[in-house]
Amino acid sequence: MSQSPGQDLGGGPSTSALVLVIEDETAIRRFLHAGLESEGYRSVEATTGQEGISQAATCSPDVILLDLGLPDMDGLTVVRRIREWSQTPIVVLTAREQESDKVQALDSGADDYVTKPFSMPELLARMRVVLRHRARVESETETVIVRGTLRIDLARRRVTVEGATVTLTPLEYRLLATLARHAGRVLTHKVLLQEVWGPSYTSQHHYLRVYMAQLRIKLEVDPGRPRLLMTETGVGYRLVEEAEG
Amino acid sequence: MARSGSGKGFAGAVGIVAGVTLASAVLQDRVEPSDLTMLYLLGVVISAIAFGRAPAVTAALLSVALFDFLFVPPRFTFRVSESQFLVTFAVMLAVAVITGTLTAHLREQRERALMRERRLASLYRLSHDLAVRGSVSEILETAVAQISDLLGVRAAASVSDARGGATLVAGDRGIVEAGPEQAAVVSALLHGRPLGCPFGEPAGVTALHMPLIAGTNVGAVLSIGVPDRTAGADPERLDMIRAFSNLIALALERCRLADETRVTQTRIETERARSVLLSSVSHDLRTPLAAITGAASTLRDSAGKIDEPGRRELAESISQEAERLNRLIGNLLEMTRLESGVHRVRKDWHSLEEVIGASLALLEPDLGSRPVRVSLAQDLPLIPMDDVLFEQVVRNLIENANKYSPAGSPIELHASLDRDALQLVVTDRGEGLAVGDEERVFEKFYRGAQAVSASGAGLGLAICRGIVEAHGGTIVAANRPEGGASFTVRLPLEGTPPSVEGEVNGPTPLDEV
Repeated sequence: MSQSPGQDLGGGPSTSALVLVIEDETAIRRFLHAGLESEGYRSVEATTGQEGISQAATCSPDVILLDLGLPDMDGLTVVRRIREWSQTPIVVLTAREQESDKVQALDSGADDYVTKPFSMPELLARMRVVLRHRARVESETETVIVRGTLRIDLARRRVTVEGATVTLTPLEYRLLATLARHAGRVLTHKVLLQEVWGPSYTSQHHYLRVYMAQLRIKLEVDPGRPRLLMTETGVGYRLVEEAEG
Repeated sequence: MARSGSGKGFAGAVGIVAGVTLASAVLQDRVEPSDLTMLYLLGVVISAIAFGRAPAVTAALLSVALFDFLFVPPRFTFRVSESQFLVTFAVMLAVAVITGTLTAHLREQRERALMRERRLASLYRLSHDLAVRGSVSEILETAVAQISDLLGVRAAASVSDARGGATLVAGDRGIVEAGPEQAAVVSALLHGRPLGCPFGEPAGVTALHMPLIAGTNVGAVLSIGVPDRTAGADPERLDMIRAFSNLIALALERCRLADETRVTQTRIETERARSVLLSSVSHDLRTPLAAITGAASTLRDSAGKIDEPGRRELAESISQEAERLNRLIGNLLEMTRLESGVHRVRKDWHSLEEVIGASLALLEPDLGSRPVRVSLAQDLPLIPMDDVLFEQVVRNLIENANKYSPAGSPIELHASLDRDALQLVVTDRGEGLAVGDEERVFEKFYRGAQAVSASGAGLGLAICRGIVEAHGGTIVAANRPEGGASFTVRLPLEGTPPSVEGEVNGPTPLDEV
């Protein structure tokens, strides 16, 4: 995904961040407003795609929550328009079932998605990930990612589980490193294949399945019930944001 | 009376008279000539019985002439010497004509009775045969076979088709194939009037086309070959054909009414099923909604009257019921999609282990600490499947096992290759299925007898079956001998899994998977 510098975050804590909510349903805007305020976020609202795009330009939000089903224009178009000039993280709110919608939104430049109906903690977790990632891209400080017993040192290209070095093939490492650089965020099959194998492999989904299985055998306690390298069926893969236990 | 006027009859009569004359010649010396008249009378009567009136009269005239010429003195002349012989001649003639007429009449009556009997027998046979035929084509095939058998001609039956033409359903194509015949069939269908010999013959039409009418036009035509014009106009034959047509028409009508009844019956049952479905769905939708509305309004109206734990509990129940509602709607949508065939199964090469892993991750909150044992055969290749859909199958099966077995008892998943199929078995340690439920559990809205919890609308397994079958696979349920239920999914393995290039220049070798 995009590696260019992000929007100005003002260096402050993400809890004071400004959230732009583009959503036409009053009930959802109402609970988002309440939920965001109670977590210390400030929020502005737009009810149409057009209004949302202009708000994105005038308010300089830190993160955008975008409903894909807007009355005036396709949500995917909104994502693409905003991406023409802005790298503000976008979390898409999508109605269930249509995995292809999620994939398209992600491939168009959205950073992550939550499926309606979603709980507030779920949404807040996703927002924290994209905000932290944006901050990380700016500071470029975090090069060591630790999830439970797994430790990935991107600078030294070293992977350990419970302190023991794990030997990975170059492609396995590139796959893991790509997921790690975007830790917590879902990466689509297309993005992963392009990053790891190159543009001519973007439809060879079975490569991912084989390599993910190999990675899980080397890194997971129980490869059959992964806790670190999660599958988002029909969409892509995600390295968990926080390992449980 | 067919034979009465024929040459054969006259020849026979002449033969009989000749025989009588020969016998008379032999007997003439021993008996009186008046006794010989009795012999001739016998000959006349026999001729009448055997050949009818005209040969009998011929025989009488011939007898009188021969008797006079050969045996009445003066012999070998036609002169009559004694007047008593004139009386004899008159009596002979009269007897001949009267017996001839009487016997001929009797013969005619007998023949007519025989014909009627034959006709009745064949009608009876036809009606009997038609009664056991269930479909239009069966009825027409039987009818055509019997008619052509009985009349000794070619026959065919056509029905009207959707485009306003006629389609041959039984019999000999040859007699309706020609353009004019085909047009006559269509016209007979359209107007419900017979066409062809002897009902007016448009150019080129040689057969008889009888529309079949039983109260209403039943939309079929019987075509019957006509050997010649005389036979075609024979009223007996026409009566017969009419009687046959009526029988066939009645049989077709009966068949149509039976079909209509069946359609109505099906519609009534569909209606009933739909209303059961509606009441079931509305109940399942309203229950969580009622809980949500109740909890939310309590929270809204009782500010300050409920303590913090109470408020949390209400909020928790809102969230749980909403989740339940969400699942139900998801299942209903999924079912609708499967039934309407909107789903295209997008198969790709997937790892079953990964699909199971993703299902388990999604079910984590429901499963809690319940042990789920997954055992996969070592040699499992990538499987051609739609991962999004198949994940639902796995999830629904595990959810089902979770629901119908005691908390804490293990759920087991076992996958292996069996010939050209992937076999996935999900087993639980619950009470198992009730007898006879092995198939019914896959019906939508069916809930097993021990479905204690109100959650779920009885759609999960129906969805499983829909998805598996859309993959070309099968799913069956059974009880394990050790107790508990087992569900077995078989997916066909077609094609060769794609290969993945190895890494040649890697610093470490590719680990064996």
